[in-house]
This record gives sequence, C-alpha cells and structure tokens, in this order.
Amino acid sequence: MTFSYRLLAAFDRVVSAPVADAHCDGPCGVYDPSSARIAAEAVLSMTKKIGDIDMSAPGAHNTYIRFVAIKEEQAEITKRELNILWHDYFKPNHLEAYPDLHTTFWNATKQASACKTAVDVGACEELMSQIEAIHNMFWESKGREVPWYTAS
Amino acid sequence: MKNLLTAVVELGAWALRRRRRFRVTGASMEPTIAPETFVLVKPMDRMQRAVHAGDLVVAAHPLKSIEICKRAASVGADGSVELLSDNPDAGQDSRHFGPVASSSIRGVVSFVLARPS
Repeated sequence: MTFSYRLLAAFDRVVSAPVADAHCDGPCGVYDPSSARIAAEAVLSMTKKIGDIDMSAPGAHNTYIRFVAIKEEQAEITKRELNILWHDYFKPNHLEAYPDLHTTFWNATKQASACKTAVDVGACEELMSQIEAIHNMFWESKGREVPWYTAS
Repeated sequence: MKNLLTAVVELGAWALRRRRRFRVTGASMEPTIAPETFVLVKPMDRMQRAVHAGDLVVAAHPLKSIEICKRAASVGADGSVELLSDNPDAGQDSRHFGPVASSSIRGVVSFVLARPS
C-alpha cells in the first residue's frame, strides 16, 4: 500500500488530483465559546473604564472615543463568535437536548447589541452570564467538563 | 494478497481512465478517511447501479463550487441522496444543506489509499 500511495503521490506532484473536501467549513470542528467570552469581557472592561474617565482631564475626549471604539468593536466580535457557535457548531439534533438553544443564542446576541449601544455595566454582566450558560451547554454537548472562568 | 490485487486492479483501472483520482482534505470522514488520503472514484456513468446507502461518494457541494467526500446515508424515493460525515463533529453535510440531487454525485469511491503513517 505504501508503494501505491507513493505512486499516486508522485503522480500528484506532476498532475495534482482535484480535491474532495471533507470539511467544507474551515478548520475542522475547532469551536470554543472562550472566543465569545474574551470579547464580552473586553466589552465589560471598556464599559467600566468609560465610566471611570475623568472628563476634565487633558486628553479625556481622545481616551473616551478610543474606549468607545474598542467597546463597539469587541461587542461586534462577541456577536460574530456567538453566531459561529450557533450556526456552525450546534446542529439540529442538539435541539432535542437543548430545546431553548435558539432562544439562548438569540438573547445573548441581542444582549451583545445592547452592550454595544449603551454604557451599562449591568447589561455587560448579564451578557457574561448568558455566555456562561452557553459555555456550559457547549461543553456538556461535547461530554466534557470544562469549568467556567474569566480572564479578569 | 487480496489487498495487493485490489490495488493493482484499481490503479490499472485508473491508468485506463476508468477511475477519477481525488485527494481528500479535512477530517469529517475520519476514521474511514484521514486527511491527505487519495481515493479512486468510479464515475456514475461507469457504475452498473445507482448509489446505495452506505456508499462513500464524491459529490458536488450544492451551495459551493467544490467537491466533497461524504457517506451516502440514505437514498430517497425520488433518487435524492442524503450525505453525512462519518465524523459528524467536523463537517457540513445534509444536516445543513439537505439531501442532494443524484445528478450531483460524481461517483462512488472504489479504492481508498491512506497516507502511510
């Protein structure tokens, strides 16, 4: 068999074989809710920092605009990462075990939008708890015990 | 010995252009087909029969201009074929895009040649 493979591999270097994809979706099932968690933590952190800015300090307006821009960007990343889990990782058969899967993701992505629009620490903490629920659901669906943690 | 004979027959058929050669990428057909495996495919116009449930097939993706290697899980009364991944965690298949038309099946895998470890 080694010889046969080498024969085809050698031939392949001259005329490459067409590819038959067995993934169709990038890196083969590598999903982790921590991507969404890190972005949401950044949103929470920037929201707190915006509230702490002394607006009478020199350069405060520049700092304020930077913080708002980062918060908006990270909220957008949070939504994207949640959508990847929702659309790509979770499959219709997961709905049997998690009948509120769609509601959970819908609420979490809407919450990320709310955090983007407002400067509201409470809303960000609510987003974190929703992502914690998704973390638990995700790892349970993979039959693994991964404790929830945060970077900050 | 039987394996060697199969290899000779299949590679001979390929040399006579009776098989198409594909290189499989991705992990969705593991453990049956590891990434970087070569497969020889018997084109449908050379098949003496229709696709059966259980066949490994190469098919055109219904939504993208790529070809995919999947397992024919079932064949509907209308001839449509449900394609599934042997490793369901790592692939998109009929669970996402529904059954595919039988005309999109390029052929049935007749020979799997894994990369030597």
